[in-house]
Amino acid sequence: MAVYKRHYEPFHGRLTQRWSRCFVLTRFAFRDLFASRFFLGFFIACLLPVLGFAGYIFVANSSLVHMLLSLASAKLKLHVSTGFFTAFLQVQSSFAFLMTCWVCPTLVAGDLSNGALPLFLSRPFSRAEYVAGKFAVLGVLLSFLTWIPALALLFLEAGLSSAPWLGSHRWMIGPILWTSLVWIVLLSLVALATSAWVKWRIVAMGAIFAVFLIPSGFGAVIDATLQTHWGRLLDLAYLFHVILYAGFRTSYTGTEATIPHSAAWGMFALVSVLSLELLQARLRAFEVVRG
Amino acid sequence: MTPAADRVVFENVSKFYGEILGVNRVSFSLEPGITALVGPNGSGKTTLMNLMTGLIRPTHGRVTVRGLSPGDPQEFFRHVGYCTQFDSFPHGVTGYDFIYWPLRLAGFSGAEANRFSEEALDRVGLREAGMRRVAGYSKGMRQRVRLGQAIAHHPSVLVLDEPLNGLDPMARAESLALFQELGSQGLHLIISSHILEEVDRISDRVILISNGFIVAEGRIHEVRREVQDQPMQILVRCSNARGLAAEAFSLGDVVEAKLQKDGGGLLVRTTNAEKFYLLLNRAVTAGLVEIDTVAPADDDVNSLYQYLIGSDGNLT
Amino acid sequence: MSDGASAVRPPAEWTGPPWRLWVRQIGILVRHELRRSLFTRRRFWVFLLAFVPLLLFGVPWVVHSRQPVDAAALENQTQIFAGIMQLYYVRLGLFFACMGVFTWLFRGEMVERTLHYPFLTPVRREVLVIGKFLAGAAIVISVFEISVLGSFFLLYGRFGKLGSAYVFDGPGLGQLGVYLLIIALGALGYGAVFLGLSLVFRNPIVPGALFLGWETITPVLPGWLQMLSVTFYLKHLYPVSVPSNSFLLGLFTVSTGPISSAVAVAGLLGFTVAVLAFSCYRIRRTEITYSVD
Repeated sequence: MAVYKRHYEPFHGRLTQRWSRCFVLTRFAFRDLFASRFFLGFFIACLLPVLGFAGYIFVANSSLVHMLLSLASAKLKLHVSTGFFTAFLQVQSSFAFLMTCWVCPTLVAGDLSNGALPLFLSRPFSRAEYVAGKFAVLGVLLSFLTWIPALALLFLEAGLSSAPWLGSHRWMIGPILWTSLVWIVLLSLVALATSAWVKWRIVAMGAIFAVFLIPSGFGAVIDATLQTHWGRLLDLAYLFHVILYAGFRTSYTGTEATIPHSAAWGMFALVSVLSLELLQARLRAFEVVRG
Repeated sequence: MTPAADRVVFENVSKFYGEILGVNRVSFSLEPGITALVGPNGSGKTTLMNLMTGLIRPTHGRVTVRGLSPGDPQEFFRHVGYCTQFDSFPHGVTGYDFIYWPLRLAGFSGAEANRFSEEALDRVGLREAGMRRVAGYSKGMRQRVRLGQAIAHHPSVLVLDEPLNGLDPMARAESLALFQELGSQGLHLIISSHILEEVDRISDRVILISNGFIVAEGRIHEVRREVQDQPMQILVRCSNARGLAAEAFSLGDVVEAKLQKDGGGLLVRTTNAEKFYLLLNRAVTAGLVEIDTVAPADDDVNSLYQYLIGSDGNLT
Repeated sequence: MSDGASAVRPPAEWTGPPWRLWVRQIGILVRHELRRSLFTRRRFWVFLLAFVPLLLFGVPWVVHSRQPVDAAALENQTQIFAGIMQLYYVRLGLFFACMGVFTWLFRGEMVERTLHYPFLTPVRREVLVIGKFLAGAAIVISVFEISVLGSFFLLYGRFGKLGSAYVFDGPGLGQLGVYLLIIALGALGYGAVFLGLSLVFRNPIVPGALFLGWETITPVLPGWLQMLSVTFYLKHLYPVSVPSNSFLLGLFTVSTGPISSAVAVAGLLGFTVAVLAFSCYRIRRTEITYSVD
C-alpha cells in the first residue's frame, strides 16, 4: 500500500517561445475553422476563379488555339500581362472581403461575448500578441486567396510561354505582393476592429459588410450633393483598385474622375490607424457593467 | 373538474435533440403540492421543465398543466410561472421593469401591474433595489428577481429551476419558507435543486430522473418503501440501547444494528421495517426500553438519490 | 424577504373579445420595445445611417451658397434627390437599418438568451411577432422619414421662392408624400423579410447579404420572380425617374415592366403580410435551445 501525497508544483516542461506564443491562437483558430464543412466548401469556392485564370493561361499558350484563331482570322488576341493580373487580383480581393466577413467575427467577437479576453490577458500574453495571433489567421487565409495564387499563375505563364516572358514581366512580382498585402492588412484591421466593437458574431458579420458597403453609398451621396468626386475616398474597394492599378503602372478607368493614388494611400493609412485605435480601446482584460 | 384539471400530466413524453436524448417515455401525474425534481447534471431536469412550460415541444407524447396545453400561451401563462436558470436579462432592464412589463402583457392595468410588481419585489426582498439595473445585481439578487417575476401574477403552477442557486443561507431559508407557504395554499410547485437536504425539508413528492429516464416518482415515504433492495435505516433514541440491539438481532430481517457513541441510541438497518416496529412495541410494553424518539434515518430525498442514482450520478 | 400578501389571487381574466386583448398587447409590446431600444447607444448607428444625408444636404447651404438658384439647377437637384432616394435611402440605408433592427428583434434575444421571457408571458406568439415587427417598423420609419423630410426641405429651402413654389404649388409636396410612402413600404417589406430570415437561419446575415444580391439582380429575372423582390414594387412608385448613366446608379437601380401605383402598394403589402404569416408559422415552432445558437 502506498500513500501518494499530492501538492502543487509549477510546470517544469518547456514553454512555447515568447515570440511564437501568439500563433497558438492562430493554430486553434485554423482547427476550428476547417472543422466546418461549410467553411471548407466556401474556401474551395473562393479558389475556383484561380482555375479559370489558369485555364486562360493554358488556352493563351496553346498552339492549337492560336492556329484556330488565325484560321478564323479573328482579331481576338489572348495574352497574359498586367491586365490579366489586375483582373485576377480584383476578383480575388472581392473573395478576400467575403472571406474576411465570414472568418473575422469568429475570431474576436466570440472571445468578447464569452468573456474569454480576461482569461487570455491574465496570462503572460499581451494585447498586441492577441491581435497578432488573430491577424495571422486572416493573413494566411487571405494570402492563399490573393498573392500566392497570383504568383503561381505568374510562374505558370512563365513556364508555358514559348517566348522569354518572365524577364520582361518579372517586375510584376513586386506589385502582386505589396498590393495584395495592403488589401490584406486593411481588410484584417478594419474587420478585427469592427468585430471587437460589436461583440456578437452575427452582428459583427453584418457590421463588417456594412462598414465596407455603406460608406461607398455615403461617398456617392457626397459626390451627388456637393458635386465633387472626393466622396469616393469613403469607398475602400474603389481606393484599392486605384492603388492596384497604380502598382501595375496603369490608370484605373472605372469612372470618369479618379482619386490620386497618394490620397488613396493616405485614406488607407488613416483607416488602419483608426482601426488600431479602436482595437486598443476595446480589447482589455476587464468589462464595464453599468448597473 | 376532470381528473387532469388540477394536475400536471406527462403522457409518454419523449424529447430528442436530433440524435441526443433529452427525456424518454416520461409519464406522471402530479397533484397540487411541492414536488422535487432531482437528478444529476444533464439528467433531463431542465428539459422536463422546459417541456412543462412549452419552451420546447415534445418529440412524442403530450403535456398538460391543469388541463391547459403549453401550446396556448395566452391562457397557459396566466396560470403558470416559470423561473428558469438562464442567468441573462434584457439589456438595460431594471428589476421593477423586469416584473412590470410581463404583468402589463398579461392584461393587468398599469395600476394593478405596479401594485403586483412592488408586491413581488417585496416578497423576494428587492424592494430597495427594484429601480436599479439588473446588470448591477449580485448573482443572488438576479436569482431573486427572476423568482419575483415568476410569482408576480399569482400563478397556480410555479416551476422553479434551481431556485436556490447563488443564494446566501439567509435568502435560501427565506425562499424555502416562501415555497412552503405557496405549497400550503394549494399551488403546484415543481422545484429542481441540487441542495437535496433543503428540498427534502419542504417537498411532498419527488421525481428522480437520470439519463433522461424517470427512476422513481411519488411521495417520498412511498418511494422509499418501494426500494426494497436497500434495508431501511431506523434511528431509535432510548434507554437500554444494548438490550434493544440484542432483541433486534433475534429478527432475521435486521442486517445491522449500530450503537450510538453515547450509548443512548441505536441505528438499525432492516429489510422489514414493519416487523421491527412490532418488536419495538413489544419491547416497550415489556418494559425493556424507554423510548425517546423513533425516526426513519434514510426516508429522505438524499437517501433515495444515493440508493437509486448513486453518488456519481449513474444509475445503481 | 417579506411574507406579506400571500393569498393566491386569481389571475386577470379577460372578458372582452380576444382581438381586443391582442390589440392591447401589441400596443404594450410596441411601447415597451420603443422605450427600451429607440434612444439607446445600440441604436446610434440607425440614426447615423439615416441622418448623414441630412447633414450633406445642409452643406451646400454653406459651400454653394453663391451659386445661381435657377430652374435648371432645381431640376438637377430634383434628379439628384431622386437618385439619392433610390441609391442611398432605400437600397443602402433602409436596407441595412432593417437588417440590423428586424434581425435583432428575435435573433438578438436568442443571442442574448432572453427570448424565453416573452415566450413565458400570456401572449400568443403570433402577437409577439406582430408587436415586435410594428415596433421595429416604428423605429425605422420614424427615423428615416424625419431624415427624408429634413433633406427635402434643406434641398428646396436653398432655392428660396423658386423652391417654395416647386414644393407647395408644384409637384414637390406630392413627391415628398410618395417618398415618405416609399420609406414606410420599404421598411415594412425589408423588415418582414429580415424578421423571417432571423427566424429561419441561425446566422441571418449571410442570407441577408444574398438578399441584397437578389434585390440587385432581379431586373434580369422573369417577371414572376421579380415579384419576390421589394425593389420591384418600390420602383413603380418613384415619382422621378433616375437616368442610370453612372456605374453605381446603374448597379443599384432597377428597370421593370410598368404596373400601377395601387397595384405596387397592394403588392408590397401583400408580400409583407405573406412573409409575416410565414414568420408567425415559424415562431410557433421555435424552441428555446440557446446552447445551439
